[in-house]
Amino acid sequence: MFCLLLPLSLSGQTPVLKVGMELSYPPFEMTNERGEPAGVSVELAQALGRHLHRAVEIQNIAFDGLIPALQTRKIDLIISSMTATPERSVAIDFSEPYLKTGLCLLLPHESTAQSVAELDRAGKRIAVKKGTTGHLFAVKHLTHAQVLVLDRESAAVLEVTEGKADAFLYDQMSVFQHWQKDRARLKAVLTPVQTESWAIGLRRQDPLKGAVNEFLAGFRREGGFEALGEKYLKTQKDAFKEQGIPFLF
Amino acid sequence: MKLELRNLHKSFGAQRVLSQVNFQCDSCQALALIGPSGAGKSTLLRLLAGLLPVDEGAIVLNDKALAQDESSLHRHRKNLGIVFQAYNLFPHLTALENILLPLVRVHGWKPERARRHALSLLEKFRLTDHAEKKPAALSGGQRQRVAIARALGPGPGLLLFDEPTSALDPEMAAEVLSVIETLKNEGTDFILVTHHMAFAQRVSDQTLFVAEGTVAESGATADLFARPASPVLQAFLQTHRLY
Amino acid sequence: MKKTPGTSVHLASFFSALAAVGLFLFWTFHRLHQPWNWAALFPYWPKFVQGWLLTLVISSASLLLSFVMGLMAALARRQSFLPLRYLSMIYIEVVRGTPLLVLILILFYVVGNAFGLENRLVAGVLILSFFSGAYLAEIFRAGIEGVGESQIESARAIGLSPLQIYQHVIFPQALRQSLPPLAGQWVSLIKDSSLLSIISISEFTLNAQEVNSFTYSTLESYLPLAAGYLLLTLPVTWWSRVLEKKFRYET
Repeated sequence: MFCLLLPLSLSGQTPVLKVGMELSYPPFEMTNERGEPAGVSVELAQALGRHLHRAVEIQNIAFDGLIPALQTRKIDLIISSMTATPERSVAIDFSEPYLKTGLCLLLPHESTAQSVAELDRAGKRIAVKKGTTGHLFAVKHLTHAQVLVLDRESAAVLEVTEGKADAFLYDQMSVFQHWQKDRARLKAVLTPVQTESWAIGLRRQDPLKGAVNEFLAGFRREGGFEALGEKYLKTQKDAFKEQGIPFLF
Repeated sequence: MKLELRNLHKSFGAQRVLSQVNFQCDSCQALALIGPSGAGKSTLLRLLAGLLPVDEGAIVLNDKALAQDESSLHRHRKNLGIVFQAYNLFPHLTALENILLPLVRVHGWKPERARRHALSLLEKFRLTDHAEKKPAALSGGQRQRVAIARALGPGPGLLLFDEPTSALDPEMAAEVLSVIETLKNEGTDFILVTHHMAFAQRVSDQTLFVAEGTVAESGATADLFARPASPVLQAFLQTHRLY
Repeated sequence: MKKTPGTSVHLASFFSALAAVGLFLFWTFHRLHQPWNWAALFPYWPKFVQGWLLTLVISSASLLLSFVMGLMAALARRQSFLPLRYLSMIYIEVVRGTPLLVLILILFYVVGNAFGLENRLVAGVLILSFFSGAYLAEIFRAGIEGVGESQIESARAIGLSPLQIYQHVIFPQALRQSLPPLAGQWVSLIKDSSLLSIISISEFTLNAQEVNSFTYSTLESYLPLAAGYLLLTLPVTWWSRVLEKKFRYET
């Protein structure tokens, strides 16, 4: 866990806003060449900080440790491309969704599968990352295939390229990126298996919720999301348009 | 026994420990090896025991030359009994088990016969009460007596003692020496390395005086002690008169 | 002369120490201001049990296999045939000097792939045994070398063959000497098996983490996890102390 302080001119006495995210998910949560947090979620967090007149501190926490960190007040918000699911809503609260995406499949190049239903058979192995919606979906809906739970995205991708898994069930953004990086050995079926919406995570009954939703509405109105999409997700936008898949934001 | 040592040499690496060791006795029962510390007595005993191979020369025991390959030496060791200064017994076994081990494992005796024989030996040395004790629970003198019993177990043709009482206080040393004397009186052949001059004089027929890696003098014990011929032996006996 | 404390004093002291620890834990958890949600765990109890059982199986199998590997490596290290000796030394030093995490990744994704080893469970046991074997080899070597030279000479003197010397003199004593570090290594093995979760072996730790993912009851998931491991490690520690006492003697 490493934290970077991004002071604003108006910090003064107001407490620092601690935002948790897992910095291993480009282009949303990542680190730049200087090792500082960067990406869509980081810029969103900074914009929110400006809106609330508070300094923002980014804390790098493993994805499945984010909710416990929020619950124990180590962080104030979760902005980590996290989907608002009914299960998670029991533990924490969510803002209005700010992005729509979907779960899809990363496959080995030779695979002919077109849908997750084809892969839900005995002998098939589906890799998922621990604690993600892909994990929850697999456990709930895949009754015949073997579910391989891995704690790192990179490990799951490795399993697919090495033929130790028949698919990686994960969100469209990452699947697309991995496919781009290794078109020779991988293949992506980007049609969403399940659509989901990302939202900002808050503690239950946190008064901050109103201000956060207000910010999100304003940010969208002013074209903030549009700008982020252009800056970070140009290639994805175009590729999705090509494949006729509705794009996020 | 009939023993002949012909021009023995032994070195450890660059260090020459024994050279030109020559000796002959046609029928001696008890042979004493005496001499200053570090002179090579223990090494000579180990050569005789077949624990170390000879570099040059020959050992002829009872008209049979001792071949120096490991399997011949192993066979030779099976026919001997050896008692060291200390650490003879295995600490994880009882006194009885220590005696049984070579009988059953090396000489192939049936466990029942071995057990009976071992117990009789323990009785002979008045150690019956200590049969089930581990060496740690025994006194130094008792340990050495068990070691002698173990060495005697298979009925060896020859016993070798390497300073068996050096690690014991006078009282326990006396126990052990009296055992050795008993063995002498029963006619057992043995070779004894010792610094107890008086005992050596009393119990042995022949004596080998080893000094600086070679036999400085040898002969019948009585003559050797009464009329030492070489100045080295004279000086040695002088300093050991107390014993 | 000072009187040694009786049993009642020992019991009272033990329980008061335990109570102090309990009080401390209670206070630290209380400060979290977090509502406990044990009910969320209940539907998942089969996962805990299955995971615990698998950890038990993996640990037991690895215990045995690593014992064999360690013993072979320790003996190889003493051979006069030099290539074998060096092979053993390389194995021991490389494995002991590398983190288990790295070893698991390399052995599973690189070496395992080269040999076409698909079964994760088998791979997990092999990797864990391979890892632990190197530590056991050093423990055994210390035990073997701890048997004094004079005993070996004594053994040769009574006519035992080299094999017999190992069987009747060296091994019995070396094993008894090795008991404390051996038990320690076995306890480490049981705990280290949790790292196999990274290659998706559905052992105890991974299962508890999954339940945590589903229920967001972190502490409620991890406390049974700690208790479960203690259930595995405490018997090993206790049994080794019993054996130590049984075999104790002065050397």
